[in-house]
Amino acid sequence: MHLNLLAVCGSGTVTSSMIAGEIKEELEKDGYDVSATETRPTEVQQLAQGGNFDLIVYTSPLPEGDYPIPVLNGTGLLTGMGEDEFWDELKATVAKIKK
Amino acid sequence: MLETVKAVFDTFGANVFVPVMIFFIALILKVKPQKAFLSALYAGVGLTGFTLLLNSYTPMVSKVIKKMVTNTGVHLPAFDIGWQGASLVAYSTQAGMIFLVVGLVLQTVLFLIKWTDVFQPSDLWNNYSYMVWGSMCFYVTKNMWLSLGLMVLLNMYSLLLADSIAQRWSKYYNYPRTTIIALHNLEPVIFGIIMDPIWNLLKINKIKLSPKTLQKKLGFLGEPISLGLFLGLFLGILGNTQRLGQLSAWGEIAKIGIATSAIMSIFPKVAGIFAQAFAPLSQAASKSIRKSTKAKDASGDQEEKPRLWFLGVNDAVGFGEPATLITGMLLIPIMVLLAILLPGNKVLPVIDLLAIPYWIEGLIALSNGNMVKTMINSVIWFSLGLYMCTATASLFTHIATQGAGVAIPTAALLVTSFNILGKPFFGLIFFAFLTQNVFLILLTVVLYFVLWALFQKNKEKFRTYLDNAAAKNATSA
Repeated sequence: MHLNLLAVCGSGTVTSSMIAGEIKEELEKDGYDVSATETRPTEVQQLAQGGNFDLIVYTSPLPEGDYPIPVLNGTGLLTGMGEDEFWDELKATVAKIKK
Repeated sequence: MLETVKAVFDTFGANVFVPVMIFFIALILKVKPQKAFLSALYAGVGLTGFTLLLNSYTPMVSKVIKKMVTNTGVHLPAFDIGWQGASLVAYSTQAGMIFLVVGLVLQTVLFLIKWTDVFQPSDLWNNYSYMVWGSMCFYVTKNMWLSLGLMVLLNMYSLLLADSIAQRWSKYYNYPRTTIIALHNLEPVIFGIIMDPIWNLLKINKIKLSPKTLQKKLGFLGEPISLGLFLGLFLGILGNTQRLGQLSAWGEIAKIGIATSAIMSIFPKVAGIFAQAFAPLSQAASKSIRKSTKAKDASGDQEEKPRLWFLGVNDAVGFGEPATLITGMLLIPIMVLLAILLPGNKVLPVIDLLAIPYWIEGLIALSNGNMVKTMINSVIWFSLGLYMCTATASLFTHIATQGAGVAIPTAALLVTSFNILGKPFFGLIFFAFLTQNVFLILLTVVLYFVLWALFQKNKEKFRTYLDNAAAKNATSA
């Protein structure tokens, strides 16, 4: 199955690319084909509402708002704190996404 | 040995040399060969993309800036190419390449011998900050040992700063046992710590400003596309003040507007490709340290108190916090205005304006999210930063053109990075090394050891002091 991931960090540059890479690799093992777009916190809502994405993983706090797709906190990937829980949550969320 | 390195480096250039280095470092860190190869390739692609991008943009912008300087009183010939540009320049120099290895070893050793509580290799990417200063030092002095010494000393200073604010940062941003570690984003903390009691005397700690109400109104300022367009148009108008009645002037104004908007939105994408080269390295480093500490905890060594340490993370994790983001945006127009008004300043801040939220994370944490206090600290310290950029602009332009192969029409334009080079304190250390005066250099080294010893002796007390000082601020929430 193909998944469109929106990866968020401060500038949509360094950290978002890193976590996107890690998520891609992990989900590929489960047979998912992930393509990721990196972005900044202030652009997330607009992109998410555009309807092209399946889920959001962020490492920088998001502004309050309506997000029509699942939103996951990915800071555990950087700090190692709650990393295992993140993977569990991600896999549970992904399993629920139907196309 | 250094001569051979130089010969190889000059023959192949950074776009080939850097990927090869990254490939071998990745293998040493036990990254799988296939992954190591891909990350190496990302580095080469990123570097090439950066050169392509800047080489098509600089001739355009330099023409406009040249006219602005001659036609109006606005003498700001140093264009801010941003931290993304500075990082790519840094990684393309010999000093940078050497420090890629030296820094990794140094940071790991300092952590293991408990010289510091902060584990830095998990934010490997940000090492380019030391490399920029080191490369400029090498460019002037042609002395690699001296330049290496400078990079090592700057690294140790930034570890000391990270050590001192780690607890405060992790509490405010709510990432347990984690801290920021990048030199360029820690440096303003020095000023913040010193000035805090003075601002409290003036009752600035009692002023409340709520970020949430401002967020909606200011959102457009933080968008690369719109900010780029505005700054570009502004630049175009300044460059064409004497012929605003002509159609061709407006053609140029519109073109530079779109071009600046383009460079601000495309630059981060290129830097993102480049950064992916470093992802497996950082991950390998931080995973191994987490595994080793976990193993120690599990072994149940009851006699030894578990070590309190902080994992260095990329500043991105604090960027979107409302007080941080909004204070950063408010500072954008203020810094542009100050750049124009401050006598003697030659820097036009552009691309790094978007990065201001990163630099103020330490100040925000110190003041517990007090936006007014952070703004006052920032305005003063970053103004001094503009002068440091001015003082180093011609040197940085040299390493950008020679090291990274950026084509800059000579004399028309200088380049700088407001974020990376606008660091007054670290800049002074750099200039001390540049003089090659033994006494001045020793002074910077001795100062470090004195501060380090003082901190080690009063570690707990100092961290508690910062927490108490932060609590004196009225919170906006």
